[in-house]
Amino acid sequence: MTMATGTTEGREANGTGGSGGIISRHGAVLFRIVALSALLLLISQIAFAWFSLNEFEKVLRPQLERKAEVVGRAVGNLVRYSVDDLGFPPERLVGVDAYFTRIMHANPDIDFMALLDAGGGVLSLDGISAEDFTTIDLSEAVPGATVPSSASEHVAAPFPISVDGTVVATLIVGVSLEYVSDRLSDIYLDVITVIVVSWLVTLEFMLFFMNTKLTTPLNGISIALARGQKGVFADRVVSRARDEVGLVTASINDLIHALQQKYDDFRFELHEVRSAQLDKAVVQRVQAVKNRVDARLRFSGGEDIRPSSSLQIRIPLFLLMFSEELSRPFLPIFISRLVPAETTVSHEFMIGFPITLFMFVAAVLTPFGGVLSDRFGARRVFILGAIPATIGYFGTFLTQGYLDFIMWRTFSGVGYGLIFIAAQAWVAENTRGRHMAQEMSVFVGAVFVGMICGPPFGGIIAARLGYEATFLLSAGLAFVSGLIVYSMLDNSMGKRVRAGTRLGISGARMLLLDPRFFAVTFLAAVPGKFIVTGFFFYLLPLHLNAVGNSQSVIGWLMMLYGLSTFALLPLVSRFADRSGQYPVLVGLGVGLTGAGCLAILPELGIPNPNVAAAISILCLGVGHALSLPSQLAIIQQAAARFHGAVGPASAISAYRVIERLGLVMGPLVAAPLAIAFGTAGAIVGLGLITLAFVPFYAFAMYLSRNRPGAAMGELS
Amino acid sequence: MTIGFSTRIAMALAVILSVGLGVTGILSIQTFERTLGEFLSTRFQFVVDDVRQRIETQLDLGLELSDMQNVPLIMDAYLRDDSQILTIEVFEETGTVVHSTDTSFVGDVVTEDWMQAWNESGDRNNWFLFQRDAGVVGSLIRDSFDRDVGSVALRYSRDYLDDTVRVHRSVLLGAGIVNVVIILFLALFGSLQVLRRPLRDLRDLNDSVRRMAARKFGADVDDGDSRLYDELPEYGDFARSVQEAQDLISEATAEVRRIDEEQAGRA
Amino acid sequence: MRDRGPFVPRAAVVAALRRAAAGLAVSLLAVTIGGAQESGSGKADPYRIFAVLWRGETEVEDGFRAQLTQRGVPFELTVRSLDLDRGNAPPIIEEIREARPDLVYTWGTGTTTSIVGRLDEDDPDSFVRDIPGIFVLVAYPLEAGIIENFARPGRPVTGVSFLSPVDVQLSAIVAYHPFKTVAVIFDETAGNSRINVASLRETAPEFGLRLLEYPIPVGSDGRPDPEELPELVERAKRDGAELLYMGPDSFLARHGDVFTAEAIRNGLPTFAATQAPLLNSRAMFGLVTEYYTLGRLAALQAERILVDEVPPEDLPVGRLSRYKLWINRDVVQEIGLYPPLEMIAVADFRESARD
Repeated sequence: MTMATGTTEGREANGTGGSGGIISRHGAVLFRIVALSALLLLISQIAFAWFSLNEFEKVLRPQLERKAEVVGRAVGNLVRYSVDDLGFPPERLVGVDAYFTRIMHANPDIDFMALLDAGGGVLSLDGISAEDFTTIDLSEAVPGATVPSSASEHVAAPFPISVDGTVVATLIVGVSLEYVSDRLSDIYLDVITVIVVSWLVTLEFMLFFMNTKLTTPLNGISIALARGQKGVFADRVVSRARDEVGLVTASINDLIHALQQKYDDFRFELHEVRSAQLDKAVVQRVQAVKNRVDARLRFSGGEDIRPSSSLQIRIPLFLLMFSEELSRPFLPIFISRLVPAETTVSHEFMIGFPITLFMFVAAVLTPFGGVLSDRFGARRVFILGAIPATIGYFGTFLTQGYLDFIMWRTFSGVGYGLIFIAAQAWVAENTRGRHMAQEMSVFVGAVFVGMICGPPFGGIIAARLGYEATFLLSAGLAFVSGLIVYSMLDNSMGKRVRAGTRLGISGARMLLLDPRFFAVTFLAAVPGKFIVTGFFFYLLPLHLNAVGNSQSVIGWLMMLYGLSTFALLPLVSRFADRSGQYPVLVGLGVGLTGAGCLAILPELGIPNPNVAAAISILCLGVGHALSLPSQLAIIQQAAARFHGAVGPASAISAYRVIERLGLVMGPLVAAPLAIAFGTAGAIVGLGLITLAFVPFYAFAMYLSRNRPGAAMGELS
Repeated sequence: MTIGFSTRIAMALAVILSVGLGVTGILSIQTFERTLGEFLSTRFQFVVDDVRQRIETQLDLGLELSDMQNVPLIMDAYLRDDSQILTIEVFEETGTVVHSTDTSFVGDVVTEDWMQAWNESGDRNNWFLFQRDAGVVGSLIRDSFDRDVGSVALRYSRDYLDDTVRVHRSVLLGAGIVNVVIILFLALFGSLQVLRRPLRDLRDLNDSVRRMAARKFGADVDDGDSRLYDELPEYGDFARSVQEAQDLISEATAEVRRIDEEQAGRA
Repeated sequence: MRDRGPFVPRAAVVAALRRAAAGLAVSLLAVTIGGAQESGSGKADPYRIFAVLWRGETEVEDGFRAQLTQRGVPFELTVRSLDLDRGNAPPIIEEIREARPDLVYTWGTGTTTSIVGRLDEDDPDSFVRDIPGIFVLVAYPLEAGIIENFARPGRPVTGVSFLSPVDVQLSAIVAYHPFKTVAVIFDETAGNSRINVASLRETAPEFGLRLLEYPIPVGSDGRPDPEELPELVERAKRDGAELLYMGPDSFLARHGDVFTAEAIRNGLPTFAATQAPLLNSRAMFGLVTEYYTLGRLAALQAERILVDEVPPEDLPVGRLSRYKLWINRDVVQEIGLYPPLEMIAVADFRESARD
């Protein structure tokens, strides 16, 4: 017999307040360890990056000065030719500024050029203001060698021009040290990305590690202790730990075993005594002693305590999300290269189709995965999902053309769909009666951390090593994800925690006829989701690529979505619960999502297309943060009004199914728009379509507000 | 065998850090190599473009490519000024070298890959080639009939680039290893500090549980145990419950024996 | 080689050997191709070219000969001159008809129209019309009625254009100095000058230039009067001209000494579209075609016709992609208007023909 126990963050948090020691106070220990790891990692990464860039600058700087010398000598020769060979007076030379400008334009590493007369007066100057130029001390300059300027980050090299041994003019060529750092700056973004990603991975990993190694086994001990307090010494704590906690666990098991042994000895003696006796009264006396012990203590009928935690699924789920998100910044670009030149369907549709197919497969598997999880337990379904996911990514790595690409992506979609559901089921299995929404933050957290880390990291890998290499990495991560679940998580057999999520036909009818449910799902969730696949997954990478961005930059920009949602979600949730203005927040969120897409419009006059795209992405992130928790709240309210006819869980799963419809539709809506108006036009189009949903949603909400029985804030 | 918590944490951190630093290091060295390569080739490009411009001006004046007396002088001057330049050459459309800083090359024909790089440069003014032993920067010479009549080509040593990158690769590797080792110790030390009390509690708990298992009937609790009971109330309750159980069973056993003896005495 | 030694001695030796081997291969190849060419054309004899000049040999012919020789085209050049008189044409035409050369080369608009005639000539019999022709030094072949258009001449006569296009000339002018007013003093009786001034008039506003036109008054003989030149220069100066423009005007070229001296006296720079005022008198700067280069370009055209057997009627008139910026340094010093550094880098500086 097996028993699973749940651990929640809430419990850990509560534990910190108590006066207890390690057993109940592990929350504080966990926090300190995670903080320590994060701090150490950050310091060492920054130190390393700083060190390496510093080393590079040391090498690159002299190269810059060499370039200045070459340019200075060539230009100096021309000036000498004009002055000496042609006899043109240096102060009468014209077009020097224009010539300097042309040289500086062709050689962006040259920062400024100046021509001075014999007395050091400035004849021509370009690239630097006269004031700044005076700060450069040339008194100790050696011809042709650079001197650092006292005030700024310039270095300048003088080239004297002499006629018959007399210096008649001096050419100054200046380079900016900033140029070196500018040229190295495209690595800054990459390094920052790597730091952020490894930082988040460390956080995730430490949480997982501490949870698996400390929190969860301590919970097992805690349960054994609690049962012992009640005189139950029948259980055994199952632990794989070989550390301090493992020792304690083993000792407690030994202690319990010793007690059981002692009881067995007692029983044996008692049995001997009793069987040797014929006197009924004596037998009764002996039996009374046993009854006294048995009334107080219990040694049999125990269970194996297998501590497990909803948190444990975080790292495997994170790894899988991470592996899927790696290809986010280039997937449509990658597909467009695979699309055959001659197609019966339009190019745009061919690009969108695999994205739609992936979402469709994942959506179709959702109920199926649920049934499997109920039957075999989340752990097995997770492992089952990791297999096609790994195969799919590996196949994509080897992909030859459009058709096999579709096939491999279908594999990945199957895996993704199964794992998504399995992870949710794991959380549900390990929650047991506690607040579901709070538990789901474990799940949502892993998804968002994956969405933050994946695109920028994938962008870097794609930019440096190519698209295919990224899929190979994805395959590796998906494999590791499955391996972790296989080797580190214990199987908690499926319990009927999903009971009540079945939705009968009558229930479905009730839900669909409820105007608020209808408004939130079809008029808010669907447009909110189709913009994710249509805009964010499909059009945005193409657009950002078309305006000339590297994969690193695209990935970095796309990270803003996960980041903004993740950062705002808890804040907005709290605000929403306090104000109870769920419908307003949903409307605002969807409106913001749509309006953000309009930032791409060139008529808005946002000079930098990346700034415009960043605004769109942030609007999407903020919009989702605003509307998602409130959508769930409204769904739960709606379910509550049916007074048990429809459970909140089944209402939510119905909402999820409809929401996925939006994900599937996204590229299908975006493709014809892209054909008609181009990529940027299609983004604006999607924004307008989304915005068009808002008045309908508002109207539906307004109507339902006046209906009897639809009380506002019923649950809040 | 037990591996302590602190060691595990330090090792996990070291692994993540090594991967992170490895990725940072690879990205950095790659950017560095590219940037350094560009810094070098931009200088050489300036040189070949300057030589080309002088040649073209003279072509406009009607001079033959092979007749330009001052071109070798200009090229020699550039070669003298820059130790990284191996040779500067001018070759005609047939590939025949007409000027070179290494006069023994004059009259030779340049290699096929040079000709290919030159031919494939199309409308661009420069061509680049990375060969095993040298980098090559070329500049197309066009005459006033707009025909490609040849090219200036500059071979520069790759040794400097390769050596510098190699040196920095090992410097970064060293720095990374030092970094990881330092962090390993800091993590070990830090987590030992953080875990000192919890681990002491766990060890005490372990000792206490073991003592309890070996406890004789009616024996008093250890001093350490009573401290633990106060600090870990859950354990205190449990321990008391265990003691009760032990005592209860012992008492019961004793009572059964007494009954047995009573009966034996009676018999 | 200071740098070579320590770096890659072995690679260098190998590279040198490889180059030597490749060189041998290529020279063998060249011999083979040369042989094939000879037999392919079926002509062991040299190509016979008949040149008719206006006033004796110039550098154009030097360039022409040099280029053909360099390209290995065997040729035999017969040279005749009209000696500045069209009346000398008929006997030469007769000689050409008898000799039946492979190509007729004509120098200048007058020679060309005298020997091969205009497109719309009434009396085709008095010209050479059935032998491929090539012209040089014709300023306006289209306007002179020699060809139909530059891309496809439309008759078996093609040539090389020696004038830089007017817009290129004007860009050079404004690049030298931001001039606002340009004066052109020209021989109204000459077709070339009229065509040139007309296209100047059309193009100048595009460069923000005001064009002042001064036709040289005609004397009693119906020809322009050189005595009027000093007065015209002074008038232009009074009217605000900042630069004098000298087009392809043979009258002005003949009186270049007087004209440019007068310009210098008035502190006015002169721009020349042809070589003569720069070479023979004291114009300040100009955008010109070197006669020698022009001859080489003509030789390229001749090679296309003779060796590649391209019909001349399909062969576009040859044109340079770059022209020579000629600056007379001493004139610049006297006027005191210095060229911008950018021009100094590419210009050919000379001393003017001072007596």
